[in-house]
Amino acid sequence: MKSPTHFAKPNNSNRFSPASSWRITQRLLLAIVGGYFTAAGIAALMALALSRVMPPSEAGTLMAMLAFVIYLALLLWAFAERRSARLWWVLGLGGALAFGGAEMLPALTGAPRG
Amino acid sequence: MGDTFRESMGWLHTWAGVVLGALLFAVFWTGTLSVFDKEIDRWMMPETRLAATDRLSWPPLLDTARELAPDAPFWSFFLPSERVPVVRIFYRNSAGDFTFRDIEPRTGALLPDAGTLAGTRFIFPFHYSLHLRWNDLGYWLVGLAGMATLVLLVSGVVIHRKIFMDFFTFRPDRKLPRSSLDLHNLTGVLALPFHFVMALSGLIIFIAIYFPAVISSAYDGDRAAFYKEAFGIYRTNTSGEPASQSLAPLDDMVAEASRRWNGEPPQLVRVWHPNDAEAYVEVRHSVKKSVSYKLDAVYFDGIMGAVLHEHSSGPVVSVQRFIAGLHFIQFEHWPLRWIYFVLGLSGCVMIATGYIYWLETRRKRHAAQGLPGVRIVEGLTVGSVSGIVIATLAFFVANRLLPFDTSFVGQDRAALEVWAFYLVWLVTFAHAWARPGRAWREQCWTIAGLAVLAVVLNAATTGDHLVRSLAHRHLWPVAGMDLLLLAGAAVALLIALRLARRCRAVHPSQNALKAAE
Amino acid sequence: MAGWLLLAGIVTAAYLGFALLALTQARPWQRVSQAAPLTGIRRLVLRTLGGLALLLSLALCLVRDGPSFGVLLWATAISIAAAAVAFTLTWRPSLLRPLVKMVAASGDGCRARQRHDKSDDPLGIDRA
Repeated sequence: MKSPTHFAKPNNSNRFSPASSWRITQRLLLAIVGGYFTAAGIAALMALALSRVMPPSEAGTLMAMLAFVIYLALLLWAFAERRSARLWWVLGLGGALAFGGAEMLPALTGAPRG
Repeated sequence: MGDTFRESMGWLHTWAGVVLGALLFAVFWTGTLSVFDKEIDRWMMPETRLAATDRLSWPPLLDTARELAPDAPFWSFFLPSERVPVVRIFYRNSAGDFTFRDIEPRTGALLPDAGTLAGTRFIFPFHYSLHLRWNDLGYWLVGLAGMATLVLLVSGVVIHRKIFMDFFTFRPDRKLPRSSLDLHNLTGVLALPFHFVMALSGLIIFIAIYFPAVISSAYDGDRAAFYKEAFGIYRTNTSGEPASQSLAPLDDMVAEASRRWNGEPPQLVRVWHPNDAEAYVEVRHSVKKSVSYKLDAVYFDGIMGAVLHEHSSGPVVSVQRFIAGLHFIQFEHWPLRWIYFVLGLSGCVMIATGYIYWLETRRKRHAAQGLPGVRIVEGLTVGSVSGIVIATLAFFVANRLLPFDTSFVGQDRAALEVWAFYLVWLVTFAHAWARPGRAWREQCWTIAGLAVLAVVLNAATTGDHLVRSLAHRHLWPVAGMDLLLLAGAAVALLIALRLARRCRAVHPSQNALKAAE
Repeated sequence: MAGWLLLAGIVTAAYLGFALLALTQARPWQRVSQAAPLTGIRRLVLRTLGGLALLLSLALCLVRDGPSFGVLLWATAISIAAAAVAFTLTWRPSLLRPLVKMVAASGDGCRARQRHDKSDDPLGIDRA
């Protein structure tokens, strides 16, 4: 039994129906925009952690390079994943938390850069 | 979107390809041309067709700079190399615009204003920024194209069922859907490492633009130090007072920098605040001898000549410079340069054949069901594939036809050449949508004609026809360009003839009707 | 001069490597030869030889240009070599016939020896 959040395979007759257009738009936004902020957030949090053990220019460069690979993986997953709920949790909420966390953590911890 | 992983990837590959293929082709095409951007410069700027030289003399260069831009905040001297026989000075002119002039290296003589942006200032920047400056929009679109390329490559491999069995398969004698898919798979799979590395390395060059938050995080929110620590961008303030004496000898600074680099030469010497007491000189490492696009630099006090600061990359940044260098291909290695060019063209063929496959497999169904998809995408394909080629050729032809000092509604020759590019490109789209079915063929004929015209115009306006340019080493860039133009014309001609033959075969009744009229 | 010779060697070795690998596949083999496609040990040997030729190409690249340029040259040149083999199979498959003949000759030698061992000619009088 398919769950209600399952992305049904659109058949030709309703390919451009409002329902399937909305599903596709959701998926695109979550994948492209959500995926970007999630990848950036994950990479930023890791860069923050790494900058405690290596020079910040090195940590930032390393994670910025890896961020593209993370983004690629998220993009592919976003189009393969069938349950829209999962997409919202990971790329929507997860991304917001990761990115928001990375932005606010330095201010919260207040530790000045050595 | 698909029930299985493979089906989802199929959906993704098709939609990403159709929607973004036009953008991708523009980036791939200008990227491929940029491999030879400096050779295109020689072709479009005949006064720079000089013999390469290693010797240059600083005093006359500095005098020329002082005359040209006495109040500029900096003078960037790009030193000559095998591919660039002149010194190119970049500076901000009195209007505040960032501009350049070419200088003869030994005498310091200023060459006449090029009157063109040519390969290095139009085609190459188009490749990474689409010349869309507003809020870095162009950079973001190219970034999207880069990510899309990675997604398309991976999804393409996933959906290719018989990737090893089909490894060497190309059947041009079969029907168009089969032969175009064969060629699409061939160019995609055989050059897969190249396409993947080029896309990823291109993105990695711009980490500071695409993932600023990541870099900020490493710096607890303050990014400014990154540029100095990673990329060696060292800046000091002016004193506001004029210099009491002239600059220390630049030859000594260059020699000292070279000594620190185990004898490697510099590629760039930048004089900051030339007239100020706090003038300083940046000497940057050559990028010709290694794969890495190094940003190693030594900074000297302008008046005393002492070393102020030396930058060399840490291990991770060195990796980023190596990856950037893979993409920039500024190193001296002719076999590799030609290989990159051929593989770049294969990428263009990959995109074009992808479109052709999509069109041919849906043509009948869309016609039968009255769907507009094929009509729209066919116009898009023709305009973005043969159209941009025609626009590029128009750019070259305009360069040869328009005199140096042309001016029209306030636009100088360089700007008019760019207008020619964009206007002709627009026309090719209009033509493609107005004449479906015939547009491909007609545009192929146009490519053949314009390419030959460009070669003829070069011979007529500069006298460096093929016989002459092949005979003199310093004219080989011109010969190379002319030969590639002729080769391109031949390919376009063959395609046009083949399309005509196919059209006659497919529509014999129409042709019979025409014959009867 | 040495650079050009090495480059010729690099390209030749890569081309031969891919040609040998291609001939172990049924569809390319059938473009060149009427005989049955290779199987079993012979296919394995040919694949190994093909792989060795590609490694030779890499070695020559490293000799010519050192570690970083060498690997880059190889990684890109093999794409071109593979495409060249594909186009040879499409338009001039007869160019690969000498390779097929070599494979067949070695095969006949093997088969002849097998036939001989199993035959009733213990003194080898009938061996051709």
